[in-house]
Amino acid sequence: MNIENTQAQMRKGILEYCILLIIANEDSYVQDIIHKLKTAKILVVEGTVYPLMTRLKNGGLLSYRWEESTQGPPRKYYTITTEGRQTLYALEQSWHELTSSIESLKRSNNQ
Amino acid sequence: MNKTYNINLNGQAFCIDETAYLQLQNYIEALEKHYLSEEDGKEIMADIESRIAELFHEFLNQSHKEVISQTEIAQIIQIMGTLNDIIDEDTNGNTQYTTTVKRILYRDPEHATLGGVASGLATYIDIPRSVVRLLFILLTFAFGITILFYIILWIIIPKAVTPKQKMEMKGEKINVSNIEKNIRDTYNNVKKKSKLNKLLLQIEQTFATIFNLIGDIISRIGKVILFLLSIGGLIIGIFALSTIVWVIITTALDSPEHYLSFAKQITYPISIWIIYLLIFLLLGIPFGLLSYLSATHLCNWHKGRGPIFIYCTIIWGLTLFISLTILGFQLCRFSNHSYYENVIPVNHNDTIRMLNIKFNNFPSTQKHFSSIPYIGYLDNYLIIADSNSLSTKTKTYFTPNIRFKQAKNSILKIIIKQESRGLTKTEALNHATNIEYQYNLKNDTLHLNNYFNIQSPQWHFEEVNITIMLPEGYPVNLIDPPYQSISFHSLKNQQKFLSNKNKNQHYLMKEEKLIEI
Repeated sequence: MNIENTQAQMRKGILEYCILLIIANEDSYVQDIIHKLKTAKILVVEGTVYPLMTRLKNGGLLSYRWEESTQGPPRKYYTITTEGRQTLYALEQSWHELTSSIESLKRSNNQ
Repeated sequence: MNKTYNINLNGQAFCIDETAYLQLQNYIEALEKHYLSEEDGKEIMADIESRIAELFHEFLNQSHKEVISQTEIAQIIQIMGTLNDIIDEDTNGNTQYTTTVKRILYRDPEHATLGGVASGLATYIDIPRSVVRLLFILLTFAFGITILFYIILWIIIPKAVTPKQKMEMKGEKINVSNIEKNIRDTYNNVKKKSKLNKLLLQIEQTFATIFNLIGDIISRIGKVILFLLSIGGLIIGIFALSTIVWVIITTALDSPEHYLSFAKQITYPISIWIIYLLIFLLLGIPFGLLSYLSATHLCNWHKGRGPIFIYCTIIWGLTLFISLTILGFQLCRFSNHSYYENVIPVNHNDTIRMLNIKFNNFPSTQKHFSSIPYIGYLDNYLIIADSNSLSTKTKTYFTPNIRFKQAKNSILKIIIKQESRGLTKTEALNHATNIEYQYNLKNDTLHLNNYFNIQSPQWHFEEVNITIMLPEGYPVNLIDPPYQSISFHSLKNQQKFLSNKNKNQHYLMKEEKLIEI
């Protein structure tokens, strides 16, 4: 039983949730998102984020616009859509349920 | 000094040197392979390339270089993530589409008996390998042309050599570590291709392909032959082994009593069962080994074969040695020959007008007469065995040989000769003397036993040869003659003798033979 595997799985599960959280807070570039994740101590390589962004966008949860940048080509500037907000809300619920379940399990252990 | 390539990433132009180019190419191609199979793939790749381009700009500005080199690529991979990170992270993350990579028909070298045709087909169609193999064998027996079909398939279907091919064969998604290996291999290959090396490489490659092809064909033919041989070996081996076992069982258990008891006398003091065991091992081990080797070859169980082969050969050699030793000892017993002769005195004074010969049969409630057919020496040697229902042992009786000869002078002579063989001459003489044979001459009747016994439990080629020398014209009356014991050479008319069922049969010695009167 590979514990690192489980840990990685846990991380993968919440990445989309985290991204939606960040963008719901304020519109961001991918760079910012990665930076904020880092600050929140979630380490992720850029190569993982780009596909996720595109899928979320194609799923209708995010949208973007092009912004000119001083260094090189224009960059995508992501915002959350209404559908995205709904999904985020649903994810919040799931997260809440999950954490309370785990908490109750831990409490029953300690008793 | 290095060569540079001009590339563009999502509309941005860069100069990049050779080695970096290759690295980048493989990185991007790997990602493309992974992502382009989905709808969003193009967009994802565009994003990634864009980002890489952005990073390139940054690096070039910082280091005041104009050309991307390996160091920049290394940094890119560090930032964007290694292929492992990206693709592995991604495989479980998306549930939006199914990733069934199409299966390609290859020959599977890892599970091949001959050429991997059956196993490759099995993997492609998703049936168990053994089923496909069984089908092939059945079809071959039904239509022999299947072998040709198999060989054609063998030539046409490519072998899955590289890991990528092996995964395509099974329809698995591309494994990242193998792609990295692929990157390294391609990189090394391209490095060799400078202008000078190119020509040499081509020549080398053509030669290599030709040799490989020839070697391939030869090895394939060899494999087919080996396969056929092992099938043949298996059939022959099993057939022979079962025949041996059956023969031994029937002779050991089912033989007539007298064969068995005679055989015991021959092989004494070694039990007959040991002889059976030795014969079984001697004949059975080679065939058993043949079947075993054939069967394991066909099923690809190459694991324990070497030691088993060695053990069996050692056991067989031991058996052979023991058998030869026993044989040698037994033959020694027959090496010397001796005899004991007794002449029955016939008085001149009692002129016997006619000699009656009365034959006594052995005492028994049942009578079996049988002969061991074609054991050469024993041809004129009848062995009668009598199993007394009261006793557990079977007694073997041997028959004497009786012949009539013309006496040179007009004197009647009766000669009883007991012969035997033995380890030494003295021992042979001993055995000859120990033969139990009864006879006597009373008035004009000669009483002869129709049988003799040997005392020892061992058989030494004991014989009793009786010669009756009759002067010419001398009449003789045979009472109940035993047809088997009397030598045919003594008789003028053998057919008549055989068909004569009279109790008293009269004969006359004339011209060296007995003729009927």
